[in-house]
Amino acid sequence: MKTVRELLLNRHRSIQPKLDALRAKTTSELRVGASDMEIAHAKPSLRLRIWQELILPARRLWVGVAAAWCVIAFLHVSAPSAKPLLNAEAPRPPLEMITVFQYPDSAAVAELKPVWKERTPGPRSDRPAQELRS
Amino acid sequence: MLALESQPQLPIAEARAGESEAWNALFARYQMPLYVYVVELVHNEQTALDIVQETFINAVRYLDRLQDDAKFGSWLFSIAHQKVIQHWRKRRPAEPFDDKIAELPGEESDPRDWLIQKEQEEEFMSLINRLSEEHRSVLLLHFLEDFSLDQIAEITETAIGTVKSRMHYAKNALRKLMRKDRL
Repeated sequence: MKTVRELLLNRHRSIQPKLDALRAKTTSELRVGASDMEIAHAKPSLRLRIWQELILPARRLWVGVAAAWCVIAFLHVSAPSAKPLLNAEAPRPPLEMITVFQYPDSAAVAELKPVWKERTPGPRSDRPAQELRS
Repeated sequence: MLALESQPQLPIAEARAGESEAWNALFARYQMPLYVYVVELVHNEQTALDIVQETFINAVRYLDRLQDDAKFGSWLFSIAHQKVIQHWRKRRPAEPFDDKIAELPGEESDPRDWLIQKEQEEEFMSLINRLSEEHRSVLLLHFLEDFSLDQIAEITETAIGTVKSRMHYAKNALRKLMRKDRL
């Protein structure tokens, strides 16, 4: 005499070796997967390698450099702003004048007409020249 | 009653941690009832083995989604059940299911307590196979793992009322068939 459960299980008992093989296959794949993950965890990442090989051995040096930059940044922020060498508000000289000063020997410059007018000096007095001669 | 009630603590936490020995123990515990459940629904050994293997693989892959460790068994069967449904869908178009509740006789003894004589075994199995797949599914879950109606509803993704009616119908249909065949 059997219960229904026993009847059902015993009816398919012959499949047991196949199920065992299937289970072994699945769990072995699980082991392979787990070992792959362990290898992935064991292999240091690029960031970690940089940290371990570049930063960590010279940590005092890096701390010193960082401190120096902090001081520089602090001084830069706290120092009064220096006067600009050129007055930005001053009127800009004409282009021809700049060219003349920069390239005094240039042939092109020679052909340039000066922007300023040559003036002959005028009389110092408003009186006519004859009166002055006399 | 069934020996399932006094089963040892299953190593679910260890399986969550990826321990292959824990998975081996879990699969060893469930492989046979899972296979019987599937093969009695699909009636093909190779298909059943494929479904069991897919169930194991999905269990490993999606164990994180299991919130209550105590429900591991029903969760595993629900994966297998979904695979069986997919198999049915490939095999045939969806058929409407008719629950003939009104025709049922009154409930008597629990079929789990039935003791089947050796000469009746084949006859009993042929009776089970004469039930519809939906009724068979509910009955197998009940017989194999002693799942509650709530658990069967979760496994089969069916409303609890539907499960109750299917169970009621399946048990009574089985009783009827047994009585008829004995006469």
